[in-house]
Amino acid sequence: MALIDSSYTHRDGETRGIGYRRWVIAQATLTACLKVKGMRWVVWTCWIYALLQGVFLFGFGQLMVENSAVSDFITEDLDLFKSFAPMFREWAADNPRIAIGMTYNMFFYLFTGAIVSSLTLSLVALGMAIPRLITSDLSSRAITIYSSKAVSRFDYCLGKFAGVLLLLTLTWLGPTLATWMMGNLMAPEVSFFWHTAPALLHSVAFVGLGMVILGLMALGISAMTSSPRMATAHWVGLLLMGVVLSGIGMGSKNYWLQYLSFWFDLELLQRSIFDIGGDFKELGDKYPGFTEMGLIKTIKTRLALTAENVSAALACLSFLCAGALVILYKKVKPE
Amino acid sequence: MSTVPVIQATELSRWYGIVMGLNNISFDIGPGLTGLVGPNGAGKSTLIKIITGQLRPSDGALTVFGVQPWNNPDVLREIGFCPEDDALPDRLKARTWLRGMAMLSGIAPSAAPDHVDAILDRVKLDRVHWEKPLGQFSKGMRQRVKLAQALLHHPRLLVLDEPMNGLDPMGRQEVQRILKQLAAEGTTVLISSHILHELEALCPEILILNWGRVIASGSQLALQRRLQGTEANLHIRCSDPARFTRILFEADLLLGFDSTGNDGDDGNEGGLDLRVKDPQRFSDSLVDLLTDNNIALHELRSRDRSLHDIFEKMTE
Repeated sequence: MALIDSSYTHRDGETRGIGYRRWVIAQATLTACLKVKGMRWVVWTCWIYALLQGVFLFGFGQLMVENSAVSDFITEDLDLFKSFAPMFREWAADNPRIAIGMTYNMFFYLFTGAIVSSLTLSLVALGMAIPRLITSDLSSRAITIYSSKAVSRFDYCLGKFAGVLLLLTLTWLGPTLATWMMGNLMAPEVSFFWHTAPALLHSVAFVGLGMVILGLMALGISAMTSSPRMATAHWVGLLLMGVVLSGIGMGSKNYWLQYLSFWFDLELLQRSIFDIGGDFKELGDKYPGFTEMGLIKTIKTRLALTAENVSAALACLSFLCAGALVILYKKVKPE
Repeated sequence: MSTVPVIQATELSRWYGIVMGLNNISFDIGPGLTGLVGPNGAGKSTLIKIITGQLRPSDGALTVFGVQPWNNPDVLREIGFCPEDDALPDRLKARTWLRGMAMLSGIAPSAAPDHVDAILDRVKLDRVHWEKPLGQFSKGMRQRVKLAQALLHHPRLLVLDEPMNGLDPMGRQEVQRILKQLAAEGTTVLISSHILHELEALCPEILILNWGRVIASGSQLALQRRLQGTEANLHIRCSDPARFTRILFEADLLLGFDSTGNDGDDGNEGGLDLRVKDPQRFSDSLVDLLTDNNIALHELRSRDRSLHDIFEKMTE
């Protein structure tokens, strides 16, 4: 029988552990994504958008300061702000939790998930990145080589997932944190930091959860096919299908169709995390009649949420994530 | 000092649905160079995938350095694999991709560049190509990059699937030299190839698969001896070939013959290709037959020495 001395070692140099190898995959994934034509523009747009939001928050903070140059500039031509500014100032002195905290919560609700937000830009970024995630390894068959290295399928997927999270950190989480920081650093008072802490927590919770869900879905779609064009088409198709179905379902008897849009589900999840309904209730309790005013009432009604809504959205998102995991399990292998 | 076989298969089977990839095979592979031979569909690729941890056996066991490679990064760290597929990302530059592969193998980022340069030099990839995208590489150059990635982490076991594909004769010689050098340094090398004469020159040990079964394994010499137990092909040149053929038939030693033409001055000398029935009895009685019949022997050599012959006979 052929025998070998198993104590023989070939390389004396340090061999790093599995954490490092996963990090190498994540880093390589991010680098590959950033090399996609136009991706840097999307990332820059996200940060410019964050800067604009920061400027907006600065303006809001200045409304709290009587006779400040910025406040005067804002209220000079806009009647709405002219009447709101003194009220905000009064509220800020009387109840900063509502005047500052709740307003920031609403702003960050819009910044993180509205139609024109870093979420939308992140969806675009993912659409561009998907062919470079797993699809390219399948099409070049490089996955055969990767899987023969000392990384398991799980490690490979985990590394790829971390790479997607890094990309989404650049387009979504990072700009959100920067916006909050800018808003508070340029605020007239240090107390803004703790009054707006719930808005930050809500944003991080929603964006974090959203990153995990979108990251898994992107990986799943990327693993579905070895054709880069088909991978992008699947992503766009999923988005469009959601938009169309949610449009059909909105206000109709078949309202459940809306849940087939992951975008709609994410929005419900976001509303639940930001507890917008709770904010309106607190506002109504403090200032009876205020939440029954025209525009405020419309917004309140529109953003109302039931536990069933959230459960249905969570169920649909879980289903999509489970589907993505099944695709990864079935497709990420060298055979 | 503990000792274990490098690769050991015990009643190993792997099937794809109802199709049998490997059928209850057992073998040991030791250090040095071993050639894996078999016709298409013999189960070579399946076996290689199991050895490199990419497939799980359906039944039985296969161990590499004493442990199962499936889902086992510890043992995969000791294996270098050069697949037959053209498995390189076209967009990346050779050096960049290999650096990534080095880091994926656990080599520190600071050490990776030197490591990559040394390996690229070893596989003789011209330096002018190092910073070019892999998509611009010829088949032979890509083959060298694939070999380089397999060698990056200095594996103790190197598994190569058709490593000579696309290489020019000089490139093949270089690869053969590298592989021999690696084997001399203590690396176990398993090579699957269709180019049998190259395997013959390279691998003292051979594993032959057919229809998912091991039909022969061991040294080329041992396999040759085994075949000679039944019959042997010889080339002989003697003073009177026609008479000698008759004598051999009378002695019940000959299965068949083919005259290769007269090559003597008197027209009575010539070459014969003989198919001998019982090689051992033939060799025992040859001298007596020649001296008793006054026949001069000018040349005697075996025609059964090539791996191709072994392969053909084994897979017949």
